[in-house]
Amino acid sequence: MNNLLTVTPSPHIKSGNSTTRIMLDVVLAMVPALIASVIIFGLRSLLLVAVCVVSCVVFEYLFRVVTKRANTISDLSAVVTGMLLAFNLPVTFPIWMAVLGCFVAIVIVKQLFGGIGQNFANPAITARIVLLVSFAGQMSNWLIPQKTAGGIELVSGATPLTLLAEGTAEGIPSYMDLFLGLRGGCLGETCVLALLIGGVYLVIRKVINPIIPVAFMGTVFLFSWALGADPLMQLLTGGVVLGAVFMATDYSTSPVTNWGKLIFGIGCGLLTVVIRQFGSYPEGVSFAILLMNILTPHIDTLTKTKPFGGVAK
Amino acid sequence: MRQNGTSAAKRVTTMGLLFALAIVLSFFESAIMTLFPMLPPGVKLGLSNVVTMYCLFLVGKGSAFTLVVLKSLFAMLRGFISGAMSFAGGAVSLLVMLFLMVLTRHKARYLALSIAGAVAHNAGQIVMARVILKNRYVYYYFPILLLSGLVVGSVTGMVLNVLMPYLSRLPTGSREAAKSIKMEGNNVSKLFRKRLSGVAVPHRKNTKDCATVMMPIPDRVVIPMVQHMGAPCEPLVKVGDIVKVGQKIGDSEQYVSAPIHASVSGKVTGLVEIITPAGAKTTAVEIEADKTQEPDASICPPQINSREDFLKAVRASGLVGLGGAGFPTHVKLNPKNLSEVDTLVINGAECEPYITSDYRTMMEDTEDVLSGVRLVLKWLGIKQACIGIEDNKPDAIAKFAKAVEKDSNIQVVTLKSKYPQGAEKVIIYETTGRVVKEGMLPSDVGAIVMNITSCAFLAKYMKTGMPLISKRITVDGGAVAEPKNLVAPIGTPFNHIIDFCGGYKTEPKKLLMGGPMMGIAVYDDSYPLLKNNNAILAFDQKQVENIFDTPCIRCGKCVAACPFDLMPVAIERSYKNNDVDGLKALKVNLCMECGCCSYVCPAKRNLVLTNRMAKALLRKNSK
Amino acid sequence: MKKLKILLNGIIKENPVLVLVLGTCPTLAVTTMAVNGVGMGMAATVVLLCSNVAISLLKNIIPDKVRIPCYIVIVAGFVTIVGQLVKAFAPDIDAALGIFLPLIVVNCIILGRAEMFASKNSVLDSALDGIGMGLGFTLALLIMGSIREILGSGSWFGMQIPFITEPVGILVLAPGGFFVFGCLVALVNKLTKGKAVGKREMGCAACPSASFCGKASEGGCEK
Repeated sequence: MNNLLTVTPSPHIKSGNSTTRIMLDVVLAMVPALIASVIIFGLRSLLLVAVCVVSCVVFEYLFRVVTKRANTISDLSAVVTGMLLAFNLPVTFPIWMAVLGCFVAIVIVKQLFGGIGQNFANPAITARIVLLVSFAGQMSNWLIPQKTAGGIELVSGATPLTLLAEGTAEGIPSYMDLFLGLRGGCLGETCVLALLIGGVYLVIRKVINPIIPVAFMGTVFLFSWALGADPLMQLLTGGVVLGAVFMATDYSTSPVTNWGKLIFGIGCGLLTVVIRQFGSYPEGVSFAILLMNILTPHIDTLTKTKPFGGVAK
Repeated sequence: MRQNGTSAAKRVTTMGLLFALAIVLSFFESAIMTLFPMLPPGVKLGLSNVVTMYCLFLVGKGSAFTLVVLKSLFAMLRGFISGAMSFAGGAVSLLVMLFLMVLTRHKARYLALSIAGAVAHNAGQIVMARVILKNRYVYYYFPILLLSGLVVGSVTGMVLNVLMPYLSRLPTGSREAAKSIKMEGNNVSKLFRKRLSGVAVPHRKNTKDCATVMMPIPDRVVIPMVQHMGAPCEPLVKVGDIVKVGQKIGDSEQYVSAPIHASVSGKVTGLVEIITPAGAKTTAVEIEADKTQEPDASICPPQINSREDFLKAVRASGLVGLGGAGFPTHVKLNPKNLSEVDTLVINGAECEPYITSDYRTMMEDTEDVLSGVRLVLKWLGIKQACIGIEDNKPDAIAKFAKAVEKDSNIQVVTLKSKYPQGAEKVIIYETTGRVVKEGMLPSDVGAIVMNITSCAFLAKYMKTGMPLISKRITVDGGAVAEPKNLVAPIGTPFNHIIDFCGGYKTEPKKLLMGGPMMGIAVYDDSYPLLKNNNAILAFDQKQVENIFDTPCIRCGKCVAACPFDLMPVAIERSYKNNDVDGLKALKVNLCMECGCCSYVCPAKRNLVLTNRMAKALLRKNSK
Repeated sequence: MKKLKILLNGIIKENPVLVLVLGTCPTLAVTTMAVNGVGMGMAATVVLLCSNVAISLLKNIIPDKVRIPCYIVIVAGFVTIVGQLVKAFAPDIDAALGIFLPLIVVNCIILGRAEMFASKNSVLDSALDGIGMGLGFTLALLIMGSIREILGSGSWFGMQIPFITEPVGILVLAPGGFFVFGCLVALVNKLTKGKAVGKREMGCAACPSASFCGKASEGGCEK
C-alpha cells in the first residue's frame, strides 16, 4: 500500500458526545434564565454576564499561557463558569468585584488544582462565597422589581428570604410572582420557571442526572415542612432551584454513582434547611453545596459500584 | 447448641452485643411509634425480631432462645406483665420458626419465616393476655394483630433479604451456618432481575439483505498457524509439498488447540513469518493455488457412535469459536462438570455494527443451524437450548421460531438490541438469569455458549466431512465500493477480498479485522483472512475518529455504561497512581474490554486501553 | 563569613515560616493587622534568642531522653518574662495578641531550632541563629500582615490608605489568610528557584501525600 493506515486500539467508533457539546448544552439551558434576568433586571444584567464570561475566558487563557500548558478555552467550561457566577450576583454588583470573583473561580479554584475535572469545589459557588464574605454590603444590595403600568420598575429593598429570616410577613410576593421571578434576588435565581425549563432540557439531553436536583429540592421541601416552615415558599425563594439544577450537578464535584448522587442531593438539602432555619445567614444553598462538594470523594468511596459477578475476597 | 471453634468469651460477647442491639432497636421502635398515635395498641414494627432472626439463622438455636429470655427479663423491668408478654411472644415465635425450618429442611425463604414468626409472636401474646387478664374476649383482638403481623413480618422479611448476604459475613455468626445460606443472587427470577447496562451503538446493518456470494479462488493464500486461543500449531508440510483442499497442514499436541487445514489445493511455496495485528510473531503456510480445488482423499463424513467420537470429530474439523473469540470448540464442549450443564445457549445476537454474516447464516442456513444444535444436545446430553437473537433481526426471529415449533427443548429468546448483548456472560444472564461469577466458567452455572455460525458449520461437517476452510464475512465501511457478504477461503489476503468488492472507492484510513467495537486495526491490507474473522471494515477519512483525548471531566458516563458495573474513571485514577491494591479492589480483571466506556466518554479518553494496561500491571505484580 | 551566613540563613533561605513551614498557627492568626504581626515577631525573636542561648549553654547537661520537657520549661520561663513585659509596656499589643503570646511556648520555630541547632552548636552560633530566625519570622509576619491589612481592611499600621475604598474582607478571615500564605510560599519557592531547604530532605516517609502519590514507589519527588 502506498498510504499509511491508522492503527489504534479498540473501540474504533465513538459516540458523538464531547465535552464542548455538553458545555454548549449547559449554556443553552441557561439562556432562558438569562432572558428572564434581562426582562426583570434590565440591561445591566446582560453587561454583568458578558463581563463575567469574558473575564473567565481571558483568565483561563492567560493562566494556561503563563504556565505553558495546552489551551483549554475551546471546551467552553470557562463560559459556563462565567455565566453561573454572574447568575449568583445582584444586578447592582460593581464590575471590578465581578472580575475579581472570576479570578477566584477560574484561577484559584479551577486551574491551580489542575484544570477541568480536578477542581475540589464548584468554582462559581466558591467565588460567590468569597465575594459574599469580602463584600457583604455589595452582595446584599438588592433591587426589587415592581410591576408598574409602564413595565417593571426596580426599587431597592430586601429579598423574600431576608424578609422570612427576619420574620416579617408583609412584602413577601405571592407564589406566582415567586415562580415567575418578580422578586428580589440574584440575576439568575429569580425566575424559577426559566430555570426549570433549562433543567428539563438538560435532563432530556442526558447532560445531567435528575437524581441530584430532585433529591436536593425534595429534601428542602420535606425537611422545611417537617420543621414547620412553608415548604413551597422555601423552595421558590433563594437560590435552591438554581443551585440544584446547575451548580450541584457539576460533574467533577459530585459523586459518580447514582447512590452517591442521591446521598449528595439529600445532604445538600439538609444543610440548606439547617443553615436557613438555625444559622445566621438567610441563604444556605452556597455553603451547603460547598460542604457537600468537599465530602464528595468520601461519598464516592462509600458508594462504589458492585461489579457484576464479582466475588469479595 | 455448642458451636465448635467458638470460645466462651466470644459467645458471651456476641450475646451481649446482640442483646444490646435488640434493646436499642426496641427503644427506637417505641420512639417512632409515638409519631403514629392512630395505630391500634400492640402493633409494633418488630425491628428487634430482626436480631432474633439473625441469631436463629446464623448464630444458633440456643443463642436465639437465650436472647428471647434476656429480652423478656429486661422487659420485666417495666413490670411483670411486660416481661410475661415479651417472653410469650418471643418463645412462641421462635418455636414456630424453628418448626418451619425443620419441616422444610432449611429451605424455607426468609420472607415466609419472618411472616410466620411475626404472626406467631402476636398469637403468643394474645394467649398470654388471656391467661393474665382471665378474659377470653381478648381473642377477638386477634384479627387486627394477625393483619399487623402479616404486614410487619413482610417488612422485616424484606429487610432480612437485603441484609442477609452482608450479615452472613459478620464474625459473630458461625461459619457453617453462613455457608448453608443459599445466596439468592444466583438464579434471579426474571421479574426482579436487574438489567445490565450497555450502549446503543448505531446498527449500520447495510449489508443485511445482501445474499452471500462465493468468492473466486485467489492466486495464493497465507494460512497462519495461530488462528485460535491456545497453543499454536506446528506446520505439517514443507516447502514444495502438494496439498489438497481440506488436508491437515498444522496441528498441535496440546489439548487446548485445534488443527488447521488447507483451504485451496496447490503447492506450498513458503513457510513465512508474519506478525499478527496483536503483535505476536507466528509461522504461516503460503500456498499457491492451482484453482482445481481437488479435495483431500481422506475427506468423508465422520462416523459418530459415542460422545468421544463426537468430540474427536469436532476437534478434527478444526472448529473454533466462530463468533470472534476463536476458542477451540472441542475443549469448550468437554468441561469437567458436563453432567451439570443443562442449557445450551446459542449466540445469535451479533451486536456489533456493520456485521451481518451471522444474520445471513440464520436466514440462509437455518436448517443447518438447527441440526447442529440438535447434534450437540444429543451427544452431550444437554436438556435444552436457547437461541438468543437481537430484536433488530425480526425476520430471523420469526424464521427460527417457526422452525423450532416441533422441538420441545429448543426455544428462541428475543434480546434487546443493545451492545454488548453477544458477550458470553451477558448473553447467559439475559437468557437464563444465571450469573457467571468471578473465576467461574459458564459450565459452572450449567450453561455452554456456542455461536450460531459454529452450529451451522458443525452440521455441515457432520454431513460432508469437509473441515473449516472457508468463512462467511461481511465487507463494509465508507471506503469500500460494493459492501457485501461473501464466503472466502481462509488465508485470502484482505486486498484480494476488497478488490472482489469493487475495490476502494476512497482512500482507506483504517482497516479493521472484526467489528468497530472490539475489532483489531490492521496495519497492512495484505493480511490474511482468519478462522475467527467475521468482517473486514475499511473506514475512510470521515469515519476515523480523532485520537486526541481531553482531560477527564468525571461525568461518570463510563460507570453508567459498563455492563459489568465497573468504574473506569476510578480505574484510570488508580492506574495513574500505580495503586495495585486499588486496582484489585476495583476488579479490573473482570473487564471484558467491550469498549462501552470508551464509546460514551465525552473526553474521548481511551479507557479500554487503560484497563488493558491496568490488567498488565496487576499481572506483573502478582508474579 | 560563616557567622553572617548563619544570621542571614533564617531570613530568606531557611525562613522558618515560608520555607521550613513552622509556626504557621500564630502566623495565620495574628497577621490580620501588620502591627500585631510585628509585635508577635519581636516577642518571639526575644524568646528565641534567649532560649537558644540558654539551651546551648545547657546542652551538655540536659539528658537526651528528657530534652523536650526541659526545652519547654526553659522556653516557658522566657515567655512568661516577655509576656509580663509586653503586658506592662504595650498593653494594646497584649490585648490584640491574646492567647497567642503565651502560646509562643509551643511555637514550633522555637522548639524546632532548639532541637536542630541550639542543642548541637556553640552559644554564639545559637544566638546568631536565634536572631536570624526571629528576624525571618518577623519579616514574614510583617509582609503577610501588611498584605492582609492593606487589601483586607484598607489600612496599614492603623493608617487609612486613601485609594482602597472597598477592602476585600475575606483576606482578614481564615481562607484569605491561607491564600496569602500559599502565595508567599510559592513566591519564595520561585525566588530561590526551589533550592531552598525542602522536599528532598523530607523524604517520602514524612510526606503526608505519600499514600496516594505515584512517585512514592519511584523513590520520591524530583526537584
